[in-house]
Amino acid sequence: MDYNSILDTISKYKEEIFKLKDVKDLDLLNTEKSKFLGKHGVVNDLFKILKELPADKRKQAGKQINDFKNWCASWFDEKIQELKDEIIYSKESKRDIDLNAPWHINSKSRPEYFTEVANLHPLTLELEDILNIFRTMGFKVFEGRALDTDKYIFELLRLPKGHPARELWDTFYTEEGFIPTTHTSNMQVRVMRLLKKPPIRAVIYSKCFRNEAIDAVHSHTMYQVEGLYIDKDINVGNMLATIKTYLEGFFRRKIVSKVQPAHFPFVEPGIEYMIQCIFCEGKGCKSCKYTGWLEVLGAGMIHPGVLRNGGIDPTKYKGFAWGLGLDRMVMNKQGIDDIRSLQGMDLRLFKSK
Amino acid sequence: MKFSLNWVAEYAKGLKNLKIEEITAGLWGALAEIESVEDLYSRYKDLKVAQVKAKKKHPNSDKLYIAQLDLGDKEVTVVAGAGNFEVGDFVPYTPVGVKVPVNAYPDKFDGVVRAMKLAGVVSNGMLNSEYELGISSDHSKIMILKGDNLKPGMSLAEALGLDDYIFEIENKSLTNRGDCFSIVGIARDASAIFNLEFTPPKFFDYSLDYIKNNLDNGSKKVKLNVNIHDKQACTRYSAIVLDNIKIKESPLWLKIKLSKHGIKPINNVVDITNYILLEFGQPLHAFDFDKIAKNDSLSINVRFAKNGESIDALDNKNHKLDSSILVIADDSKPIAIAGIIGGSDSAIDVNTKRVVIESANFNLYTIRKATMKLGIFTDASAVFSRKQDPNKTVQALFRAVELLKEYADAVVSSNLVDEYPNVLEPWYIKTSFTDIKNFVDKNIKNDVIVKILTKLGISVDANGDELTLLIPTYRPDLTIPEDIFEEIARIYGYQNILQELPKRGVYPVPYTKDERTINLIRNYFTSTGLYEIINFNFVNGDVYNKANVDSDDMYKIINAISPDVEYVRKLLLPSLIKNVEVNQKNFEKIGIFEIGKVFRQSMKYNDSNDEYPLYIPPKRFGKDEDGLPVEDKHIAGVVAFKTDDPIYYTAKLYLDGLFRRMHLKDLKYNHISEFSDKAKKQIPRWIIESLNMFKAGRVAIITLNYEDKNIYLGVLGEISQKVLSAFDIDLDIAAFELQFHLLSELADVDYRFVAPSKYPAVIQDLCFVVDKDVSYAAVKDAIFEVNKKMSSKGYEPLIRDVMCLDIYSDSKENKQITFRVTLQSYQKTLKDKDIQVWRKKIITSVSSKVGGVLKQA
Repeated sequence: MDYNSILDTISKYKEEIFKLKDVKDLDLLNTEKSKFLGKHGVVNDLFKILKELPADKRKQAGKQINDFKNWCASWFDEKIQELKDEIIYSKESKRDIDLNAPWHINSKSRPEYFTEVANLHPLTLELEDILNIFRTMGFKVFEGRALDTDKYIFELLRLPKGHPARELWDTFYTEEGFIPTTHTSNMQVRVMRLLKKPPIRAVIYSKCFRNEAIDAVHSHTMYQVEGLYIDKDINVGNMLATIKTYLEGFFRRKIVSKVQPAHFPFVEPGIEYMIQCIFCEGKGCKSCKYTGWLEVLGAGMIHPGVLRNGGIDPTKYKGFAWGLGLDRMVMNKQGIDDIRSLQGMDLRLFKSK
Repeated sequence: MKFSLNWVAEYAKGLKNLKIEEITAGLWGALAEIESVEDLYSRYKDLKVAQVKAKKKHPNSDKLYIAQLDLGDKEVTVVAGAGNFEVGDFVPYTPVGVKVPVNAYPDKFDGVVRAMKLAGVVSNGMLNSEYELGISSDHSKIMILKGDNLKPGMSLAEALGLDDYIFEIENKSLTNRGDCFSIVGIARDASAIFNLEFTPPKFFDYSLDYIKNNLDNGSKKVKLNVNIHDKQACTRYSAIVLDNIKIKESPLWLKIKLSKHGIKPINNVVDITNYILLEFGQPLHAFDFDKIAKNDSLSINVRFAKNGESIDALDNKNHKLDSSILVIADDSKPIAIAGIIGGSDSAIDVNTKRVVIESANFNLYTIRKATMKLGIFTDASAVFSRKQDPNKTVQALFRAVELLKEYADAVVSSNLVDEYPNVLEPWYIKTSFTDIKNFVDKNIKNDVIVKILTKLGISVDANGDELTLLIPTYRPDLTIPEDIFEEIARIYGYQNILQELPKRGVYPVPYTKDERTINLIRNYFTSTGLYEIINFNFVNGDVYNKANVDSDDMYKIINAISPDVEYVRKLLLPSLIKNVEVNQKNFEKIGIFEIGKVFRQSMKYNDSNDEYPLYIPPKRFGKDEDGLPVEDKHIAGVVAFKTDDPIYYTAKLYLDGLFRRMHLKDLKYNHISEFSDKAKKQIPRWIIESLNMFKAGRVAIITLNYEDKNIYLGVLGEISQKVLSAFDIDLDIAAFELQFHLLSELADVDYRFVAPSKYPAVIQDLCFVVDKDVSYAAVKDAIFEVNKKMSSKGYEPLIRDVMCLDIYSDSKENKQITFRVTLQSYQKTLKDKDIQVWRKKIITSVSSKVGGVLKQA
């Protein structure tokens, strides 16, 4: 055999293989595959002929045979996978069960519920706990918008574009310019416009989003619970008392708290509310980062500009609002120190001890 | 923002008399979160001042010297690495066993000084350079201490004023308090918080005229003029030229003050500008006059950069500029980026003789935008990113001139140039004692209010209850009465405010229908063994690939930091299947569900949106939501375990139970092929798309007949092998996904209890033989049909319950379905005759509807 006849043989084989393209028999394909590529297959036969060739052609022919071998292998692999998929698909396409029946025909066993009673997600349990405390205090409950516009998330809250306080939030954007909301405060103006006439008492919960990498204490997704209280003669003392009453209900104990000024453009004044660490009673431990204090929420008296945006007359009514991070709160209460455990959907966490 | 307590105490008399805990708690509670308090003294407490008694060269080394030191109570011998000290000098000394504050040889030792032989001579301690004390970067020589109060053996910390605390407040916490980016500002607040006397530096109150007169020495040589092109971006630009500058090292007190704040001393001119920035919160910049002036004349332009311009800045980088970036320019080119950083071409160096000192005020948004765009964050840009008082530029400039005269031999060489197109005047806020007390605490006394405001620099004019307050221009954050209320609340102390719940009565807030539906679903699923999942709204596109669902119609996050947050989910199931993949190693059986939001680009609130006439969207908050994404809510569940029976029926058991609990009837599980082409067009897109996840023959579209319309609730099926393989899942999976709002709207979530009949029930087991392709539901419906027919004729419907006992087939053509039918009346005991009539009617109905024949026993 010379170089050219090797090439001829290869193209003859290729033609033979092409003829197999409509084969629907998996066994046949496997047989054909080993005919070409098996230990005693024709490709190996071609390699044996190689040494008969003159040295100058040997390398060239070797490359041709090798290319053919690779082509051949991937052709059969693809074809076999395709056919397998097809077989599975045609098997799966069969209308072999009665979709309306309670169980399969002739089946000895009957479908059953799982025997173990399961749990709600820890976040749901605690969220419901919080919402129920506020329901008993006369607050209406709303679920907030998760995908929103700059207008509601920032502008109506007195955070015009370029405002330095926007640095507090690392914001995601969609291609259309929508924002996965950075806080539940996007609902403040909406709730005021909806409920119109004070007294307005509302809590709003939603997932909120920050463009942050996940680690033990950070995540791109956090639940927030926002509260609003608008009425005549509302003052700073009312705000502090309401927050304290809620926290004592949630932690089911008396708390020691302190307040520090904080600046959020949609409140005036703004505060951060801290409680003495509930684990070490202020002595300093891992949960409070050895400060003795846990930051639990941000709050403030609603800015008159925001009240006006919500259609409320700030000369007649005052109000307060707060926003708390649920995940951190649940971690504090349950003693979970890594947020990835809480959000990671490992079912072992949810099996209550 | 860092500040030295000693420095603040210079202007808030008596602050040092308070306990450090008291100061920290007071500032924390009334100003902002204190991020850290560093006790500087602890770093220096064991270091001493030593006096040199004798000095000689080391016998065995050219580089080393031997010093005999007087420590007051004893004398020691020390080997020193430099010889720049003389007998009688006072020097810093680190005793044996004490750690050097800054270790100059971290690879040679741990910093703790030991008695050791150096070239054969024992050294008992160490003489220190400024570098080792953390004062400057100079490690070439031993530091020589100067001063009248030095005594051998005294504490070094005391001698150098290092018995100090360094406070740090995060810049973000002071966003609206530009005035607190300075020692003077902190001192003013502290004097109000702790009721101390505020004693600012004396130049602080000098009038513009006084300053101009004092700077005018009548011998001007050079011309300087300033041209502000944009009066919005640059509110004020003050500058002056100084001659005869001697660039040298700063005095020790200045170097120490800077280094306490983490600023490296460089030379007297740079250090003095930094000093004033710290003290007064006014960034200054010094240009080398001779590098930018022509013929002793300089024209400064404050303008936006031209596209294509660039500048070599002091950070050793070339920055490309554009028309949004404000620059300081000479005739031809930018010489500094306004408020952010200077250019290297005009930088001062050891040969500088004449300097231009700039003291300006810029628009914070202009500076902020530029600093973000260029990614340059300097002390100046941090200060200018907060509103600053334009009325302090000249005082700061005057302060700089005074210090440069004293420490750099400067001579004023130009007029004071002060471009200030729109002068900012103090403004008034009107409020009243009553308003303040109503807002903060009714128990606060009027004189306390007046005192607090006065301490903060606010002029108070009280006329009965009315208050007219004149606000100083360094407090731009005070514009409305609420801002004043905050000042009272924080200085009075939140902890002192009377706390009372609002007095309004409380009304019960019942659960909404949606809330009750959600509670029902959650209770039902968890009590039947499905765990609740809360997946992220974000999802990796790869999860959809594996689930065999394309990413069309999904919102995409353009600035995602990880592929895991690239898309916003449009279905719940792909993520739930992913949950099975993650959990399968720990569980043989997995049952999970989720109630959550899904999003689609094509679903927006719009009055004319009636793509799916039978679709019930979630409630919206009014007209203003037009064009906003509809936030749809879905319910999905997954059961996963290995089984030989079709796992479909396990998932169906869950749904049947749920629908029964919701009192939903006439539900059908139909294959897509059973819908007409017209009906197919009405099936929501999400249902059609999700079919791709399932085995093509074992997936049902769930419909509900409601007011003669087909309502499309969702899908139920077995996940296809292709998807399972892609996720590498070894379990069988059946799954469902439903639209929540439809279900909630149609469901009756209240329990309905009916008292049982007093009369006995009769059970009839009936086995029907039907064609193999007749569906189970059709047979069951045919039985119930009898109830309907009879009641339409006025008879009491007697079929209470129809239960399947068995579905069996041993032939290709037909199958046998055995039902247990319970007949019962509320009015009487059924007679044999009644039973036979009903039995016959059932058999007839099944026969006529589905062609079934009763199998004879």
